[in-house]
Amino acid sequence: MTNLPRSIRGAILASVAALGLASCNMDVTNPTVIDAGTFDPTSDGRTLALSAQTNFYIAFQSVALYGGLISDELWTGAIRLQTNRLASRTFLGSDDINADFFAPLSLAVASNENAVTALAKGANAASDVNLARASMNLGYALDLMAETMCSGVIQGGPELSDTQLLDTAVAAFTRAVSTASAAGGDGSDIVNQANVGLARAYLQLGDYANAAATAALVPSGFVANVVTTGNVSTQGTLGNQLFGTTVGGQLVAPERYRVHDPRMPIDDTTQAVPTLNGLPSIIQTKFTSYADPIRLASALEAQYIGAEAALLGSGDPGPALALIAARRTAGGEGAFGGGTNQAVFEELLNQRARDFWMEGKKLGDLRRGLQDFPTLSLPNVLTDPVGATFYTSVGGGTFGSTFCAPIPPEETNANPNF
Amino acid sequence: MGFRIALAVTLLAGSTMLNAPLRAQQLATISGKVTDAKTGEPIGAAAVLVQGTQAGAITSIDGTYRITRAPLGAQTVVARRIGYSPGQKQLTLVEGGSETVDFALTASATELEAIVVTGTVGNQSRAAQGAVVASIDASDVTSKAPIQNVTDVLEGRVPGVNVEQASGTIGAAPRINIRGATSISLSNAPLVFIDGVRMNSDAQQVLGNYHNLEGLGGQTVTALNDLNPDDIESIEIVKGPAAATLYGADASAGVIQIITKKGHQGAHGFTQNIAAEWNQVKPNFTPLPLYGTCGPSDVAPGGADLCQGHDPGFVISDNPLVRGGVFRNGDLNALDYSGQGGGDNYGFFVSGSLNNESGTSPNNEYRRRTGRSSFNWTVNPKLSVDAMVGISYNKYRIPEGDDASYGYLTQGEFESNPFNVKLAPDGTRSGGISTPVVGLESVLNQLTTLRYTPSAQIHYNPFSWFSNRLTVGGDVSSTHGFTFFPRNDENWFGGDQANGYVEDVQNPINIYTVDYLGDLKKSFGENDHITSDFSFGSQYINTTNNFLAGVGLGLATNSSNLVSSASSTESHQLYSQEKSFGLLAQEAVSFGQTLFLQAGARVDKNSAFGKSYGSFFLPKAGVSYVMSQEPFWSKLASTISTFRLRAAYGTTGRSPTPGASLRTYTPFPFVNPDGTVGPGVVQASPGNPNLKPERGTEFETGFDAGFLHERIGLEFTYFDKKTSDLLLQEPLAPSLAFTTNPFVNAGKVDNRGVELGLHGSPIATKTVTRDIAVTANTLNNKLVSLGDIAIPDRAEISPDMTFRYVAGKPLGAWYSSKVIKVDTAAGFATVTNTPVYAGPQFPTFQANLSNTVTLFHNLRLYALFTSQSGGKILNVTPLIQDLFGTSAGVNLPAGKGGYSLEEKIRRFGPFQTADGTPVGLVLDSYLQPTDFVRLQEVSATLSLPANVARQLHAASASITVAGKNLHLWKSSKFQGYDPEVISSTQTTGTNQFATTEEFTVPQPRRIVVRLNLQF
Repeated sequence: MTNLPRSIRGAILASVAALGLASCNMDVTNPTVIDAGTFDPTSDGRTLALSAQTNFYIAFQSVALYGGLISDELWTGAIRLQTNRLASRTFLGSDDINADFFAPLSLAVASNENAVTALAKGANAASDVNLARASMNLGYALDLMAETMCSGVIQGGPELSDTQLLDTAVAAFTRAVSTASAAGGDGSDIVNQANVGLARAYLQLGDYANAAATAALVPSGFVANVVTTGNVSTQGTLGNQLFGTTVGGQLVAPERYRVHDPRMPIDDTTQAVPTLNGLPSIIQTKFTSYADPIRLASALEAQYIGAEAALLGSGDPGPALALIAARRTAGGEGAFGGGTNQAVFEELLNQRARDFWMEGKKLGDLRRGLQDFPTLSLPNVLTDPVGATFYTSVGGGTFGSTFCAPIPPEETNANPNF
Repeated sequence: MGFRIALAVTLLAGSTMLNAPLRAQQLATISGKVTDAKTGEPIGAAAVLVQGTQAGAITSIDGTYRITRAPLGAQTVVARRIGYSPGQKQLTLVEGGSETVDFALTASATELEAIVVTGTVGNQSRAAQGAVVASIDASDVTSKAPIQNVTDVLEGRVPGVNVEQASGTIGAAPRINIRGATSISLSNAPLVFIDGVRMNSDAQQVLGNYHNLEGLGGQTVTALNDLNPDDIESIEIVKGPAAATLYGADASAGVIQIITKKGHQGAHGFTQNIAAEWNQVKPNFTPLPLYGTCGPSDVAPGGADLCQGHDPGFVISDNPLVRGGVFRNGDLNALDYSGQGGGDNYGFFVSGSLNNESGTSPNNEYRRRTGRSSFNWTVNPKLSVDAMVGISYNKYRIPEGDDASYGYLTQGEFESNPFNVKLAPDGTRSGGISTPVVGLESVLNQLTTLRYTPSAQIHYNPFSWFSNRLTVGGDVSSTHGFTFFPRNDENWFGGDQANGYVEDVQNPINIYTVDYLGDLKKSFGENDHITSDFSFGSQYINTTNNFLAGVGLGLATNSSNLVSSASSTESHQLYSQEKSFGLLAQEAVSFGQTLFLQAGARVDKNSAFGKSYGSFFLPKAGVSYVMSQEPFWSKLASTISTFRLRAAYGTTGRSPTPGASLRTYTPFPFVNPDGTVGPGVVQASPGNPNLKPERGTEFETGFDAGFLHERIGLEFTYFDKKTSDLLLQEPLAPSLAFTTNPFVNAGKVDNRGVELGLHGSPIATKTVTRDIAVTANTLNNKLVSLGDIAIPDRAEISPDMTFRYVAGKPLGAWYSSKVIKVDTAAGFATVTNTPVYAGPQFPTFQANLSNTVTLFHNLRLYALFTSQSGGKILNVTPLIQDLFGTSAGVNLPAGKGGYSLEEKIRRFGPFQTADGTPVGLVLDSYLQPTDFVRLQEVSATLSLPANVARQLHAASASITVAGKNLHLWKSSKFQGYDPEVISSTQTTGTNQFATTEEFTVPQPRRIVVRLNLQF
């Protein structure tokens, strides 16, 4: 270098300096995406927990909507073959099962589980209300997956049976209860909500003693909702989708629900669209805006769980009959005639179907009921029987017997455990 | 960042300036004239340069030049002009001396001595390049052809450069690719540079992105249209990795280098050009009427108005677009001004243009205002500085097109029904169309772009064997988009547009380039037979893209159509930044003017891969052997005057979007327990820390030959472009719950083909010259593998009709069940058991022919034919009309526009396989060839007599009458207006290969009159 003429040296040095200065910093700003490495799971714990909770809310509504088609809570006037196969319980794994059920449930499970894992590393994890919230929503997401899917998968793992999913849900709810109890304050609502979920999981597992005991812990009058929003820019995802979908007439109230029970309000007089592809456009009015909340857990559900646990666990129909009487009165119905335990059980499910219409519970009820009583009368629980003629001509055929959704091919094709 | 660039530039510029000799120079003057050796005509715009220095001049229109600061001693002076072999003369200059050096240049069809600036490190001769770098003499093209924009300049001039005019809407961008598409996920559009500075060349789709709007259909706009083609001197095209290696890890789709006009240093004059142009823009088509056959209920009282008084079976028709006068002649008025001049050691160029154009439908307008200036200054024989700045303002109004709901053709040819037409007592028709024409006309999609392109180049040659070039510049643009659906009481629009909709978008995109090149040249051996040319340099590009949209739904009044006036509002924003930095070096060794060897490499780093990823190494090599320089060639020289063999190998890449390698969250709001909405996240992509660019590797070989004493030039190239490590999105198991599938490197694509260019002047006399150019190319595009990734088939209309990514077939290959036999007696069609390969999406062969005849130096006649074949398009327009029963084929009798029985069965079935299994909808008949031959351009340019020019106070004047898209010969199997248009111009992702025609406006016909005055 020292032998080079001065001008060359200058040019080369200047070039190197220029290029070095221009290139030394390759840092860029891309706020459109959030680098996970810049997100602090501890200090951003509330954001993580509430974000994961919203994922559960979205999954819950999807199950309430599409699961409602399977369980006859809603009828569809859609001309789409896949939707009609869902409604006639003759669907296939490839029929949007991923989009309607599996993907949103998986996101709810994964995001809450990831939040729990991240927050568990915090110094005050044992009493972290965010951890409690995520753990509770993980339990609900797993419970919902167990009630909806024929089997499940957690974050790329192997196929899990309903029992395995529910066992995991029980663990999540239990952690939620203990953490929220330690947190105090806001944690009390989480304790109650988690206890309803825990009782529900026990009931699904057939652990009636624990179901009854846990349900008994829920104070009267307790209600926890899936919170929705009427904010125009987000209502399409965060608003009440049962309102959003049914108000346009895409879904209508099934014939068995058109009995003017005040718990199942419908509008059969002023439909904007008289018929929808041959179906009378009789729509629900239980939800009348995007901002209407959807009941998720309540003392009433705890009562139902306690009554069912007593009936099926110890054969005591007393609590069930008392609850049935109260609920029939609420619905403006006459007294229940009573009968065998199966008849009492069917009536209990009938009342549950009315009380919790479009609240994401009926599919689980049907699966549980058919498991406990294979001869369960579906019409008695407001459901079209297997073999009955399907209500629209699109796709034709009769009602089938598929009450759970198989793991979709999107998962089985991409998950090496399958 | 800006500070760092500025500081770096200042340092380098300052350093080179300081190192420049500041003492008074000992200089001499050279002047002379450059003429055509055959005709004696002066040659303007020729570059005359003292070799190895920055002392030079550009000839003025009369061919004269003057170099006043030529260095002393023995010097070589070279004169160059596109289309001619360079002239070279030696002389010895003494202090204060003045030498006259005239050049008579010989026209050359092979142009091996021409200098190329693109794809090379220094300005090197074409003969030294192992890979083809194509050149377009843009000033020649714009002087004779009806050219409206830069893409017009590219179309049909260079083999392997495919310009598909996606729509006939004025202002809509074409789809450009070079040597075929190779990337599935990324853009296949070439990079564009202006005078060495990267410009934004992506197709822009900034309007109508929300609330189920479909943008402008498949229509996009391109920044290339912001340039005034009259400002361009030439365009160089680097076709593939073999030549594009030095452009780094993002250039595998090729590079287009636009070289703008500069001042005429040494011309000692000032010439001005004014051109006034008028175009008539004709639709060149009549929208299809819709038909219907009256049934008993239609002819009964209260039935369809058009059926009243007729019997069942009567065929009615209606054409709401013709009734509404939608498609009519548009026009263009343009005014261009440019001035070029210079003094002893400086030159300057200024230009301005106005362009007002209205398309063939309402709401289709285009306004362009451009200005450009450049100043070049030779400080001394060692140092020169070029400073350039361009500014443009463009305003588009573009109606929805293609399959968008409120496109004219969508509404008129699909969303219409003759049974709904109302007939007034006087026979006047109304209705019959979902959204009336007045409603469609009320939709406003408007884009305005202000673009500013400053740049500077410093050339510094401290010695004849050492040169430096620093380029700094930017492409600074700001686009404003505005979409407006007025509220109305007539229910023109549905959904979220029903009560008034407004969308306001701001989208500044800034690209900054810093580029340095150094070149060390030394000759060795006997008579300096061996020359070593070592080049080195670097390139830094910083791109930011900021997109901000406000959306308003529900307007109280149309007069207050601000987003903030709407009853509900929302906003959307995207921001990205990308930096790339490359170091490059190349060694070229030449043995005489016969054998040239080249080897080089570039090392690249790109921020898209994150900090953890290392560098990307890109090697290249080339050889060029000019056999006609060998003594043994002398026997052939009378027949084949020039012959060169060449081969090149090179690699480039293609980088993904910024952040693609990162594990990411994406913003997604959450609901607070009180029902308010808070800022949340959802996990997006798991990222891929091992992500690399797609790697394009290309080998090309061929020859150049000159015949009949360089009257005819032939260029032949075979290329094999392999792209490996394709960036594909890996479908993750949904249970992993990532909302975005990560990119992985997998799979290979192979593009092969041959390119042929034949050009020359078979007739060149003092009174008549005839120039011809033929270009042709083949393209064999093949997906070699997808690795472990499976890309789902995409079905179009029917599950039976898909485009697929299948190993061994072209990208996005069409698959359809094929009709094997039609049994009219039995009334069914037999089809294949499963969908079979039905053809490629892109043409496999293209050929163009241009012919220019000049008579008596005064009259120039020119024509260009373009053609393509081999591609297939799914023609959705007739498909929809057939399925909905509104086509002529369905309703009219056979032989009178209706389908024969056989044709009906072929199209509508019933279909079954050979074993009798029923098959659903088979769309094989609608997969139609895109073959065509088009009379693309015709012109006649007459140089007006001198006395006429004088009366116009001009030194010279000419008038051009031209036509564009004057005739189209297409396959009889293609039902529609124009097989070239496509309804999708997506430039990234698997759907970029969806070549459907869906209610797309065909290309218009233009009649052009242009008056050129030179002062």
